[in-house]
Amino acid sequence: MKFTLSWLKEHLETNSSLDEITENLTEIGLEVEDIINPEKDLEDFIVGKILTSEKHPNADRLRICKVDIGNETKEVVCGAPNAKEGLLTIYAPLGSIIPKSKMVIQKTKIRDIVSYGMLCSGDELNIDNENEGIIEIKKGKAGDKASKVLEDLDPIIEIAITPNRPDCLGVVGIARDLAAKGLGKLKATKINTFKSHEGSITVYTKSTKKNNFCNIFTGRLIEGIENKKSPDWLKNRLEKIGLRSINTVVDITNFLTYDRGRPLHAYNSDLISKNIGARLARVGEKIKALDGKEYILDEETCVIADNEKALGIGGIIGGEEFGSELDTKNIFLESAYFDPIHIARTGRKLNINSDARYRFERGTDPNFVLEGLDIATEMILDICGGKAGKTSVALHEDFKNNEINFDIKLIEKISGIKISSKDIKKILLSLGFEIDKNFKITVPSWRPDVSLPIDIVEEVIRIYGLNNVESIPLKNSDQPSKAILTNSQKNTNLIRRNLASRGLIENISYSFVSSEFSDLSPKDRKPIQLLNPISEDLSDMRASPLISLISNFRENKNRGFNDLGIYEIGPGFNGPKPGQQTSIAAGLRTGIYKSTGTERHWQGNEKVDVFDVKSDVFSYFDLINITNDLITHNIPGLDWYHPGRSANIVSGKGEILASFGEIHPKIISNLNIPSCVGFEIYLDTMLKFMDTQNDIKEFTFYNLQAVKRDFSFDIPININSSTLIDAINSCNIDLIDDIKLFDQFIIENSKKSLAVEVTIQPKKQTLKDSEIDTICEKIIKAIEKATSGKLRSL
Amino acid sequence: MENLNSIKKEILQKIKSAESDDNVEEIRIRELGKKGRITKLLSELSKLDQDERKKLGPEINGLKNKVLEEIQEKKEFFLDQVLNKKLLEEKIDVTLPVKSSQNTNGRIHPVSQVLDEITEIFGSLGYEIADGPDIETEYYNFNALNIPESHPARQMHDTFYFDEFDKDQGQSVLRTHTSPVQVRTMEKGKPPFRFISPGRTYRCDSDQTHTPMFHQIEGLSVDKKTNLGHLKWTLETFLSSFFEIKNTKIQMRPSYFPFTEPSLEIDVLCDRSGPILKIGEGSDWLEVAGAGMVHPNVLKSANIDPDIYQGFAFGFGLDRLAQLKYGIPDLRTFFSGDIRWLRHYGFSALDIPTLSRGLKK
Repeated sequence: MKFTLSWLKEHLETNSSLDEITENLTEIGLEVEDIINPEKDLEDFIVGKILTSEKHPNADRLRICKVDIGNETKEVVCGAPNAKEGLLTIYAPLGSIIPKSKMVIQKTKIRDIVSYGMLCSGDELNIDNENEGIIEIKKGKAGDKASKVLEDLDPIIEIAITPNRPDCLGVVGIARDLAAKGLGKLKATKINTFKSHEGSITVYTKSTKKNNFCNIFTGRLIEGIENKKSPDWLKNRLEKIGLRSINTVVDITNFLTYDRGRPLHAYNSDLISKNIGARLARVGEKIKALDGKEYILDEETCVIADNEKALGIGGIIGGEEFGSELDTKNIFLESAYFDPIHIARTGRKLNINSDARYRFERGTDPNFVLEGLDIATEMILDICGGKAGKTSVALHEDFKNNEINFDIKLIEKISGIKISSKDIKKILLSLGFEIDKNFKITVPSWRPDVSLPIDIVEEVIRIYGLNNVESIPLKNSDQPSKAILTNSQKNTNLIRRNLASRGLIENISYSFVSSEFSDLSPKDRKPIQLLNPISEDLSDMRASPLISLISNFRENKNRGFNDLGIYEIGPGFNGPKPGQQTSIAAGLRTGIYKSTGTERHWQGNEKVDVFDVKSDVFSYFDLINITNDLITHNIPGLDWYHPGRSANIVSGKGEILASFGEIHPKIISNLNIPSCVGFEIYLDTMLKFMDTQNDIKEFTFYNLQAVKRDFSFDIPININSSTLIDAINSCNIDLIDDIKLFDQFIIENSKKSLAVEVTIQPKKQTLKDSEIDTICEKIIKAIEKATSGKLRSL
Repeated sequence: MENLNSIKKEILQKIKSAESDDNVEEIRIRELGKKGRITKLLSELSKLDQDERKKLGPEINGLKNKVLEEIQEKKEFFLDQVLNKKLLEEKIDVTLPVKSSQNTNGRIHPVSQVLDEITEIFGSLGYEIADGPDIETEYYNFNALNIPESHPARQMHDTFYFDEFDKDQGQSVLRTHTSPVQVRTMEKGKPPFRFISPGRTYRCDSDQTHTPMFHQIEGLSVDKKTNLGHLKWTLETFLSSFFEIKNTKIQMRPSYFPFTEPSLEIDVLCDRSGPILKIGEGSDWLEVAGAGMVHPNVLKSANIDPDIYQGFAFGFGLDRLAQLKYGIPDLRTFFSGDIRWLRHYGFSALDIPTLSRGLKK
């Protein structure tokens, strides 16, 4: 919301400076976003008189001007067509800052000629919108300060209005707030009486209690006007705040919108038949609006219509054909109250942003509908002449002010500040609230946002000043006995730092990816698509952070980085409902970014393989003491991994705890990236799994020396090493303390050899050789049976 | 005497000019061997009378010791020479680079790091961490937070929608803020409450200062008497600890959020005069948070009686806090996954922020 200082002063009697006003605006919640203060901005600028103006030798459109600036003469290169001898204009000296562009003026060579300063247009000075040539000054003399001779240095203030304050979408509302803050006195509105004539038009509203869209519809005919260009004061006022001046009638309706937060509309009454009002549109009814677009309406949209046709979309935009033009003689001036919810819904549906919609959907003052109509009528009569007809009113329901039974103790209870009842009353009264002796508060009609006692608290402390709130310590009464993090959070932190300590770099990527990745997801997973993605490549919710990492690899590779070790801990989605997501720690290693070295090195380097990512997963298992006997490999892993080079790690209950492997070659070729390996750890399942594990067991010392035995087996190549280990475990020999697989070699296409070291820990007494042999035989038998292999040597 | 002196001189000269260990050994045998000259002199001592023996004995023994010492030294010299030669042959190029260590290669993303820092501070103030889903319903994202349908504030949110509808809860959306976690957490528990809820949030908006996904951190404290003064203290305490500055000054300005009343915006004192923005000094104000007293309607949504309980809520941009603290200029780079950026702004795995160690790098 923009307004000028002088406009504000039409409503506020004040001696406060611009600075005081803007500081206080922000303090009471009307946040100042921008101040344009020409007087301050033009402090360095001087009136200059062009003494001579010659054509630039090296440029057709440039001129070299000698400019008298009072005590000296400056040579300035200027491109303005009106830079003629004798002209008084504004000179920007070296070091000054052009108000509009914020450009600092420096000594510059322009086509070999040095220019000492600049001659300015009104636009560059933020004085007017004139940018065709340099400004021409009518009074003053060379050397005068620019701010002395320029007229209309009215500062412009722009404030951000929060959606709860429709009353401040009119300058008068801002003035009222400032007056309450103590910055002056709100001027009373006076409406000059004018004669109304017989001419009238019947009005209606089809709004009902059940389907409420327009509670009040009023208007009057004004006949025989002479519409014309707006007088300067009105034109300037609107142009200063960035509106285009159209003609007097339209400008007056716009003026009321900004001055009073009261949108109005003026129809050419010659084009409407005798009955006008608000009804719902017929399905498919069309209207061409003032923005030049045609809208097809439905039965939930309120239109302004006469007996035959729709004239505008109620509260949002008028019809193109029925507006007021310069040659319009007779108008129907409408003032209505449209329902905020209705307008918000319609505005969003039709996607029309207008000043009217903006105000109606936030809530206009229902008690100002007629007053606004009268003020505008009087202005039109005053400027354009004509005869005003009688006001016609269609009223669906009387407005009732909100009433609040208020207990002033609530203010201290909420804010911690003590404010006297006298001050509270003063603030509320100055904001237009009425208070009876029991502190029953009647809320003014322009404040639809105030309906609860807590809203009154806000009003009072907002004006009283939030800087009066004093800090009160709120210590931690549980300190230090209570853990702050949940197990899930602790686990996430652990895995994050563990992965980083393994050389992986944490990434955070968008939760949405390109739809091309949905095709890579498991077949039974439906893509989860956004209805309104920000772009095509951010359209689908990812199934796993691994997808983001693969996509990220492609981008980094395109920047020339082929060796990556990255990870991300974040959500993977499996449905479009709350809770259909799971927390996953995923990682990706590419190129030569191995767990044993990450870059080209003179000691040699190898390409990453599945065991690099497997060790990422298992390093975490080790950290949380998950031993091999608690988990099994389920082969292959999820769909995005190579079916022959991947596995899921599952718990005894069959839940997938983690997955790892080479990324599926189809994905690799689709995305045109080199082969790489990845893993995922499912933190939610992991956590449930960990909860079932017991606490730390007591440590037992065994003083007897352990016995180690190596076994080597020739087994079919398709038998996994885990089968062998499982076979040993299945012997259930509690003296076996450790099993290490320490060698593998491929003998031929169908056979390989695996070697294991088994540690046997005697517990109560030393084992006899025969006892050890029995154990070994048991192991050999079990392995040979499970793998259909043969013992190679002992 | 003269004889002895000239012998000594001669021997020492010979040792000095010896060219190898073998040379020295020759001298040793010649002088101190069984038939050596000095050995001979010593054996001849016994033939002398007592007086002469007393006089010459120590002299000859002195000569013997001196020669032994010199020979030893010379021998060592040659041994060292041999060893050194051998060792030099074993020379390797120790200037060759080592493999970079795992610990120094890995990185923690600045957002995770800053979240750990914040957790330390609020943890010490007794706040737990509450999590909630990224995909929300309109009910939790809006209605339960006092933002009914058609509320103009809904438009400020640029919401992402899914084609999924629940007749009680409305359409599925990506949460536009972490505030739904307030209601979900309060629904499940009983007051008093003190928690923060960090997380991913989403808005259909993208430019230099907006990304379609970003992180918020929200805090909530509800009890019977919790008021704006407590809010002010909490934010001052947090900002002081987070930026490690004494007595952070903040300014509260009235604002509007549907889920708080009164609503405020929080500015922190800053200095913009230099090339780097400095927090906690200067005379400018920088907006860092939104806050307010939890709206009675929100408490009601969570089945809490607003006549008995009250409290405050506040929200920060997590990414923005990271930007301010570690001088990271462009928000968009946070989620670009550019490996160069991650290496530069990321933190070591061992850089674990704790209150005792301090909350800076």
